[in-house]
Amino acid sequence: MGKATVIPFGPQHPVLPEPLHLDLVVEDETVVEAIPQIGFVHRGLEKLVETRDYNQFIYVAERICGICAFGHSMGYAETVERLMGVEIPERAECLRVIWHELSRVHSHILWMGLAADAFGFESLFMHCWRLRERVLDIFEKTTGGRVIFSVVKVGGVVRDIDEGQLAEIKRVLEGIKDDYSQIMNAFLKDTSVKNRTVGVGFVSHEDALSMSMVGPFARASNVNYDVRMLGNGGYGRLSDFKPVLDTQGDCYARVKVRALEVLQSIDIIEEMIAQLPSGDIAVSVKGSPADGAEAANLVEQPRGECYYYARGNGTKNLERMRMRTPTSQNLAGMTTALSGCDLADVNMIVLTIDPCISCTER
Amino acid sequence: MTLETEFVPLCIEELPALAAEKKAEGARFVQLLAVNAEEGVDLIYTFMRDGVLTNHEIKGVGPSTVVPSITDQFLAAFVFENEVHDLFGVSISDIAIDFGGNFYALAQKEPMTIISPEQKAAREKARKLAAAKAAKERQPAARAAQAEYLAGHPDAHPGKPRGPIEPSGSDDLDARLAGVDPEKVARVKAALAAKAKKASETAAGNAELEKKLAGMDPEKAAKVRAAMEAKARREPSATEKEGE
Amino acid sequence: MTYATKSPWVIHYDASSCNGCDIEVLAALCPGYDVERFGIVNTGNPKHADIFLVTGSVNEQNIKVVQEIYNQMVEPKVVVACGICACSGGIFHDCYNVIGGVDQAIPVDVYAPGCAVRPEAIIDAVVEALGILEEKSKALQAQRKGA
Repeated sequence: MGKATVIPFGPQHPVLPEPLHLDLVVEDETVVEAIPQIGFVHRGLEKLVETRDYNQFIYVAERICGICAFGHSMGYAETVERLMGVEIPERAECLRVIWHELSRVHSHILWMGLAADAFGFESLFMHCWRLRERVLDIFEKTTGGRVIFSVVKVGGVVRDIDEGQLAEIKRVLEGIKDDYSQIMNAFLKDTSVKNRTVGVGFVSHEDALSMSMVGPFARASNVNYDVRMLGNGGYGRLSDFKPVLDTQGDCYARVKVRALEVLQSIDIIEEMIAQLPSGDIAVSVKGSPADGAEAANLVEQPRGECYYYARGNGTKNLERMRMRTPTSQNLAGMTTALSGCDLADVNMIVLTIDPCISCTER
Repeated sequence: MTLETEFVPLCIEELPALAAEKKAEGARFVQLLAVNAEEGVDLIYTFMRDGVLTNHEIKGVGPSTVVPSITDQFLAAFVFENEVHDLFGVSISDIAIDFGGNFYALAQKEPMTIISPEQKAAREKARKLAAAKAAKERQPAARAAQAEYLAGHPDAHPGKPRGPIEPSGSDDLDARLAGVDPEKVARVKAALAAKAKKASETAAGNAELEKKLAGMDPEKAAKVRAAMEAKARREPSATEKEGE
Repeated sequence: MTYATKSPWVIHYDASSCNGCDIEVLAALCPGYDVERFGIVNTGNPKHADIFLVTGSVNEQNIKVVQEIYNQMVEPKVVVACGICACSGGIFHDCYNVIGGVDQAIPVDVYAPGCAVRPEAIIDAVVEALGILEEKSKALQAQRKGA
């Protein structure tokens, strides 16, 4: 029986892009318990609904998280549209889906780079991010921004993507697929990578269900749930959608689920481009939400299901806007995955839940 | 195709039973949120089953009410319960992992319950709009009632239903006051006299103002008249309210 | 040029940022913009670093952490505030938990605005910081010679 020591992990750590503090109770290099302490990114931006009206708040909603920025702006706009009973044009719905899936591609490739850095494979990290630059170039050409686009508004989208740009997007995605398959092989078939990920940080299917986990973290433990299955918004136009699942429940499974989701997203984008309807890109929204009206909405962000709630009070400012992000749901799962692992694997496990602490704390 | 959502009311006492029921039927816990409403804090528990999102709302939780935790059924709720405690000051008992108020290190205590001037102004505005709307809705009914009254009483005075009663010494008032306590009569008569004096004073004031306006720059005069009209328009609604 | 300016090591910390500026800082280190060709290496140890890249509008809980990292760094050191949130609080300047920019916690030498700050701006800011680092280094040497 070893001696129990408490090791502080974070908030500043080279592998963590965000501040998260864990108190690791360790006995001889095995982690017995991990107690998370968050609160380093709590800005309190939900209170800003009082000083920004519902059109201005979309800029705040985007900046909850820079990686899932588009997802938040889309989710917020959809929620307010639901609150006010606004129907947006079909072209706007499809454009939102295209940008959201591109956002998922960039987020997953970003994550794969960070995961490679976490288990020490720095050149793979560089390759992933080099590939990701091509997706950011698409964003810059179509929206003007690399990270935060500000292209969604309540009522539709602000910019259109014309035929030339759509053809360009298809060409770039085809090019990405080829390079991406090499990176995928490095993650999934390379023996030294497999040694770092197989069997590490196991979460069983029953635990995943009882702890209400969401996103690729849960789908790697065979939880069959993805908001896109429900066909909300533009996703209802897809011919077929099946979530990517895996039964192994360890870090390798999580890497695999995300890697395959990138390919699935590229297919979705190509399908959307093929059947993009013509028409307006926005409707003008007038007036304010009714007093006491409530609306709830779900969006599948790269990290999982995100829940939005809005309540109006008769004025142009919303009474309450709430975003519940996937990482807050997954914190309980993270503490379970960490118990019983080696100290050197803590980086890897924390990163495989894809923590987005700025989303969690807003 | 859109997502199906529903909002269902709930009482605090039913909460543990609801959590157990949802766990038994295999529903997934989605989230817990709080809203700082006028009567207290509203708590909304959301569960999902078979693609339908159900939001159960507990309205008006006061600062002294203790809400039972659902972390015994759904461990993932501990994050939200700690947050609701820190930001809204709601007491929740028996949270599985309880940070005891230190989940977030905040600059202000229970910041979401602080009603900022903007929010206060918004609530005032909403209340005024609601009151005005309600008054407007009562108007057709009030007019119909007045028409009925007039039809039944042909010698009653038409026009404004209520206004300052002129103490013209008419028999109407004396007759009404005949059967009343003489002291009260004296008080009522004095009040009426004061009101009449004020009415004549404002009339005199108006006459003086008219004289001033005549001597002023015509553009400026027009502006002042517009302002006075706007004020006058506001006043009748005030007296209507008073009368009600 | 001093040794430090030939190959400055960078430490990066996210002080209540939305991550947008952080991923642009990491993108600056990656092959797209590649500051590693200038000898810039990202380290996790404050005592190894010359330049402190901070992002984010600092919140209550983070003040101590930012000050701790700054105090552990060895002179001469430079602080670069990346992104408008680090410069002045940005869009969150009136949030209840935000103190409004990194310069409310530690002294800042270079401000690089933007939301999110572009990698080109980060490179510009780091180059400017190198100039300041050079001056500080010379001042320190003069101080030591004088003392």
